[in-house]
Amino acid sequence: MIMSSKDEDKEIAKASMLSGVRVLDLTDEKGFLCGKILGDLGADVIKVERPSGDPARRIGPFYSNLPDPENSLHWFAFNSSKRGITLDLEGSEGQEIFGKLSSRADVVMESFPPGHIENLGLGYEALSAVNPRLIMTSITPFGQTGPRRHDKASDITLMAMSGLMCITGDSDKPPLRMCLDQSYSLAGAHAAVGTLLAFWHRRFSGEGQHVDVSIYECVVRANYWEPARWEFLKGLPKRMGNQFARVRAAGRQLWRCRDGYVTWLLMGGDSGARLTKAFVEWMDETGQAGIMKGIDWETVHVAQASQEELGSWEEIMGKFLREKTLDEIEAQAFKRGIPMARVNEADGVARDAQLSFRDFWEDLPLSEPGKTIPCPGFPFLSSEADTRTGRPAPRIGEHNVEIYGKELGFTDELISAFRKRGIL
Amino acid sequence: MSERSVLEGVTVLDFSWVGAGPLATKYLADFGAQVIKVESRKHLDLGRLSAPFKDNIADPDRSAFFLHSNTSKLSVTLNLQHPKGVEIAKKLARLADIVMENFAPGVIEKMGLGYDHLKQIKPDIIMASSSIYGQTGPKARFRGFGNSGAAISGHYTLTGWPDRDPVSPGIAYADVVQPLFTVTALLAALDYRERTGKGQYIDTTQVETMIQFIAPAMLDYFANGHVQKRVGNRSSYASPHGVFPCKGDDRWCAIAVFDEKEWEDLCRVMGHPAWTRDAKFASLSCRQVNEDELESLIGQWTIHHEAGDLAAMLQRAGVPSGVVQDASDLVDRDPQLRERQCFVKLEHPVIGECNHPAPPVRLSKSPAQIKTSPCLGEHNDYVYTELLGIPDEEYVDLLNKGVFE
Repeated sequence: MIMSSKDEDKEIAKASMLSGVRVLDLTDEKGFLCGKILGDLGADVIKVERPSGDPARRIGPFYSNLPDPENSLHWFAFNSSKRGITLDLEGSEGQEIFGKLSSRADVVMESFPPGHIENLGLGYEALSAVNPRLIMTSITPFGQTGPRRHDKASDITLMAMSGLMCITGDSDKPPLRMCLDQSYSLAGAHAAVGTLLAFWHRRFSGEGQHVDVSIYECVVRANYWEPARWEFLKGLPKRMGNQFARVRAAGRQLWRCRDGYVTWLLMGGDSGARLTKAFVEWMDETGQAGIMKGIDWETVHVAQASQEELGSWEEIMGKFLREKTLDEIEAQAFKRGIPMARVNEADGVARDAQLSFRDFWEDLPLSEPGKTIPCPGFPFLSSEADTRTGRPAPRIGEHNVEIYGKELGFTDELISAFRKRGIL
Repeated sequence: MSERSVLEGVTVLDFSWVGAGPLATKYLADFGAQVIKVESRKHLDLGRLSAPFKDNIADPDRSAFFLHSNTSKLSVTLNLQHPKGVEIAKKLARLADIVMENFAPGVIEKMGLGYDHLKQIKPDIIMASSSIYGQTGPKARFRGFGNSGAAISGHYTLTGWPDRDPVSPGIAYADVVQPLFTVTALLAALDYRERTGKGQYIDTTQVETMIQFIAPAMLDYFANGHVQKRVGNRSSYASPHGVFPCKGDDRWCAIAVFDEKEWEDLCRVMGHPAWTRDAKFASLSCRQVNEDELESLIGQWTIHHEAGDLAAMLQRAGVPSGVVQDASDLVDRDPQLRERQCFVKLEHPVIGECNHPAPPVRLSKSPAQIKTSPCLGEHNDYVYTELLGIPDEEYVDLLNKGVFE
């Protein structure tokens, strides 16, 4: 029922999920993803940078490993599907220009420390007085209120506080954060939801509003199990690497194979028994099932097994999987309906046949002329709407003439005068 | 403040279960959509079977995991293996704006409730399917669990220590990431329908949504051929950047220094020990080259402090910092979470008064209005007799035939 993009090519241009929505994006790396998601969906998102370029352009990796504001692949990854202009918001002329832009915008997104945008005269109250339909989405470490709202934070400090680090990592090592800046991505995605909720509210009420996103709370929400475990059982489990806690023992989730790792967890219950039997049958075909062969898995309570018992099974399974390649395991597990997943590195993700089949990757041009690279595509498939993500991330001030000249009607002379005075 | 909930008037027929589906519809329900969760006593939502249970009594109405994923919804029981059950589901679909499901790909079509069936009944229906790998393609039938999404999408191999195995995140991470994109898709689809009159079918996957969150690592591969590796707690654009040991058992404080001003501030808090003036720590790149030594030196200072005192001291000096907290800190002590009502105390009919997780976005004029999660089949009467208008006689007849099991 979903068409592949080959079919889509034959169709006439489809409408985008969000069209006619104008977003002004003032965020830094904490909020980039929100605008990107809305941009992917077809909103006209304009990234507003300071005249010298966004400081987040310093974040690597860099194209060809050459650190340069126009080479940041981090910037490129989270600012595609946006246009870009420069504007100095610290001075009154720049603020006046921003007022003009926001008077005709639907959404302003920002991630300044609480109070800063108000000090610039561009807070929600001020902008909505001119444009009552305006939605302002603020993405900050702790939100706009509360005793910690002015605390200094970054991804790792928020991850630490969220309770996720104390349950992630090996037991004999320090608490571990998840890769890259996951808290910012979580907050960006939540902010996209919040913004669309406000947008829906505006459809019926005609009024905009202020959407306040706390990155901290987004991560606390991701820690979906532990607060309940504490409240109901007064339990506070510690990190245990790749072990999965059972009633009496802990089971392995990660298994080494010849050329990498796969995930697999012995599970109880009816469905667990069926899967275990399928795996034991596979091992038995080469006589490698050992004591696991004689066990009636329908009557065994895996969750209640002792560490010793579990360990003896895991040794058999571990030995079997260690001799297999990722491709072999993937093919056999798929055929037999066993839930084993390959633990991919970037090259494995890039080669994944499923993603290629679904035309997930989308080629976008890099700053170097003629050079394109595959980029993560639309975050879902739609039977109806346009699911191409659009444009590469903007170079510094790339759309100044387009927006200030064509839209605001600034003459070339005015634009170059503003540029000389450091306003654009 | 307006009286109207944001999504008032939007009805969601929700066949989804366990984690990634229910967390998407929870968002819609908390903001006012009428979410009718279709369950069955013959095939209980695994979420209802998941510990922890209130008072440690395993019961479908006592699971905290279920409670946390299904706030503000209505629950009906319906036997979809009974032809009459499917008929009733179709009647419910006629009332719905959105249908949500996360069965294994192909299952809902076999029941006769796939998008192609439902759009015959309601042409502008919006339907979303949520799966690990997608509804189409050579691996559509892939089976997974828990952290399959994190494994396939590359998160797993990027998390951990450089000299050790990859580490699974402490949660089924894709189960919290995917729903955010599912909700985004559904809200955008509502708007699209408003503009065009057209419904649509949405296919979200754990793998494709999780890749969005590690996009820079994928571009590093495609642009530079570089396969990124695990770096523990370090960051490419900050140093020091990690957790440091404090007084007591397994107590830690996170510290992150992004620029020279923050480095100066950190040195001041440490009392400017002589080593901080060494040229090998004079810039971000120098500190990164000598990071092992840097971390060890900072650790020798932090170990003499209580984690909370240390974080407070660093905050006063303007250094990004935070205590490594556990769930008891979040629920019982954290003043920020308390003031912002991150957990809302509500009465549940079986569990009693307990915490309910609020959405982490606050809308100034149309806030979330969280209600407790439903007991199994709690809203059968309301949905079947009031909403669908099934006459009492027929209702009893269907009940006796096991249609509402």
